[in-house]
Amino acid sequence: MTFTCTAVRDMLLECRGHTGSNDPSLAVHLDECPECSEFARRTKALVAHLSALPRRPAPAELAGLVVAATQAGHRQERAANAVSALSRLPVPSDLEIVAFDEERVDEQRSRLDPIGARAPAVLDRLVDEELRDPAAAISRRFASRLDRRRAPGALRERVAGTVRAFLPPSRLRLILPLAAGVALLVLVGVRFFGERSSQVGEATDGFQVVYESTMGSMDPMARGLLAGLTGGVVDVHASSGLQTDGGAR
Amino acid sequence: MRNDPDRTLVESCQASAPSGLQGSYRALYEHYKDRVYNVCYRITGNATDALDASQETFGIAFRKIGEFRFESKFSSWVYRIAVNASIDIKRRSGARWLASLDGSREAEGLEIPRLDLRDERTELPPAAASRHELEEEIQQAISRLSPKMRAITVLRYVENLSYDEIAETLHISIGTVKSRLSRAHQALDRELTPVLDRHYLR
Repeated sequence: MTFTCTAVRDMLLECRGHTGSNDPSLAVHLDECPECSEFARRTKALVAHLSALPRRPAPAELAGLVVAATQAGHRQERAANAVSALSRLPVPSDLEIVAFDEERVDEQRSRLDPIGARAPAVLDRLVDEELRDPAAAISRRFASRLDRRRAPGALRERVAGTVRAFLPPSRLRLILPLAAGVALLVLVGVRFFGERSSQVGEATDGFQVVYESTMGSMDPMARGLLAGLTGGVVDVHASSGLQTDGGAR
Repeated sequence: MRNDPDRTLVESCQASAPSGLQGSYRALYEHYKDRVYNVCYRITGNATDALDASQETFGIAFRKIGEFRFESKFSSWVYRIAVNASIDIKRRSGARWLASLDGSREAEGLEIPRLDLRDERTELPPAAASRHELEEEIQQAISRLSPKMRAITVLRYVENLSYDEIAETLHISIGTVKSRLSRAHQALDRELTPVLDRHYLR
């Protein structure tokens, strides 16, 4: 029996390049066909290297991930089943669905109250959410209509007690904000109202006095602090050209 | 009636809902975790995606195990889920391929490459670094295949599945298995022949 080259190559692939146990006619073809012989040699080598790729053991953390995935999947299924079992509410009578004929859009628009008939911009986001995750959108709508219950009085006491446990002593609660404010004022004061006799003063007590003539050359943090302290009154952008006189005023 | 070596374990799992990785679920997981991970790793090409794909594979398998009817072998079913999960994750993560083959291979407990030294045409393995590079290039070549070619290459040459098993796993005919394998082989031969020549291992 003689084989075509195509049949020979299919057979070589099926036996992973090994020819020993095949039809003797195959060996005859390989002896006579240098291309198929070369194909056999390359196939055998390639298959050997592919089969020799090291097997990687599953990492230990896979077990925990599988448990989490299984539990999450069950929760999703239960949620989906619960949502699909919800009763469908009738469409409110005041909801009008207006279908516009494209050719009459302008005519119809002119007759509509521009405030009452136009869909609010937020509708785009709501519809997008609805399409992305219908189950979540339905859940949110129904959840918003549930009766709001007042928290029991015991809860308030428990929360207050928990908060108190983490608060610093009452005296510190007054002192800490004051200390922070003082530190901030000192920092700003030194940055803006430092010694005018030299552009860059000596570093003393951890502070360095720098005389700045333009906002653009000021430290960005100092500019931000100045904007915050003045409530935005002082425009600290360098392009404004606002200058300081080093505290003359 | 199909003779499935996993039948007893699968039926035991079907009889109870999973509550953590325990009992029969644990046994199935231990039996398949390395196989699933290897398939996912070779198809995705990196450890991060392989872990995600493996997690997804077992999550789906355990949630849907009640629907398995032994119309195919359980292993084929699991491999199919693994292949699809890997291809999906590979597609989602784009063409990113992280080189995860580093000096920590020994710490990962990898097996020594199984070259047939009885074959006179197989030369002795080169230095470890060279072998490491070769493995990396082979993996890159596999990663450059289309998803279908990649799946069939991994199932055939890494997992050593027969044509019948591959056809059952991928829900394709034997003829399709042969044609895809032939195309995959051509692509790999084209890419790796120069690589193998360079490494003097042909």
